[in-house]
Amino acid sequence: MVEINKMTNEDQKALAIMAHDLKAPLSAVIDLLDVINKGYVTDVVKIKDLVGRATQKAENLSVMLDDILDYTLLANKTLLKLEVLNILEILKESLSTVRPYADDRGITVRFKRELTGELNVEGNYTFLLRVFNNILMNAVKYNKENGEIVFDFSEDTPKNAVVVTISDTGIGIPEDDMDKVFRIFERGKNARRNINGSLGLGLSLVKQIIEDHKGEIDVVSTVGVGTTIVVTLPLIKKEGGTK
Amino acid sequence: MSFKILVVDDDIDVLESRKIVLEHNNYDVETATNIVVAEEILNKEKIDLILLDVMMEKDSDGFVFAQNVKSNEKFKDIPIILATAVNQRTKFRFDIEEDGDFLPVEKFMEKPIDPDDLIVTIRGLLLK
Repeated sequence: MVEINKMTNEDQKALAIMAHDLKAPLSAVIDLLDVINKGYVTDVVKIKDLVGRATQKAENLSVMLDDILDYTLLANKTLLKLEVLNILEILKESLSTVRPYADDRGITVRFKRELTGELNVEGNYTFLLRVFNNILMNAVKYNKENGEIVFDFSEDTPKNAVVVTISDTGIGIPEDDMDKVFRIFERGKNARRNINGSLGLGLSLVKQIIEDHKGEIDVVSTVGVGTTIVVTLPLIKKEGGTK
Repeated sequence: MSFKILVVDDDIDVLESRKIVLEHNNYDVETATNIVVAEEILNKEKIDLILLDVMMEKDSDGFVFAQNVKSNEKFKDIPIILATAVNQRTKFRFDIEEDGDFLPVEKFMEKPIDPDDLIVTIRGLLLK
């Protein structure tokens, strides 16, 4: 941990932004519950609606806190447990997590190829799952209603790596926001409009995790057309083989 | 005739809770999730007080809107309550004494805003 008196201006700014971004939704939860508690509403249906809104907000806050905890964990790399993982199994798991959200918005998930076979990487299951959950959730959140997510993977034999491509038909990222995409606490102009509660840690965490796995992540985006995220992860070499 | 209050906040849940409290106290309420809609309402309706969130789509939106209102001869007398989630303990605290010059609003309130306190504050400002 950084000692308080050794915090840089950047650290202080990050903490202040984090405090604000956590406090705003927390205040909204208190506001929602306060109107019930102080008797401003008595209609049971309305009370249920307000409690539902408060619960949703509290769940968003919980996700934000998970992000902070993960960020802390990533800062101490010795805590990361690495194992041999079939990346295709992680992709399947991630897709099954995100699919209900896609269905809910009428978004089609299309595969260019079946997720069958074995492509092993050395990695941390929880964090790699988080990477693809985050990318896919963004592809759902920032997509158009009834849009599409196209999913593909391939083996880059010369690099001995797996390349996973996730494209959406969403709002896209403005060119002048592209350099901010992976920065901590940054949200693009378009993103701010669509997301209800986010620390802006998501993609900076994703990038950190990928880099900790000696991989790469790239973004190609056109406003109004969509965004493609390309993740490259090194494969484990097979004994005497090519991968 | 009841007073009409414009509530501006990009969080629809905050708008909902404010609307309930204000309507319960017999105020008419207009809501806007961004300053473009807020300005449209301001030009169309007779607004008696504005309750404004400081951080909206862009972090400067609340400030810009407050400045626009106060520099417009037609609207400058409408009292503004600026609601902020920025904690008093951070260096980003706002204070009517210190920040009143560059943020010409009548009152700062820190979120979460107690509904009873909000009503007392609004009554006080509307009586002036």
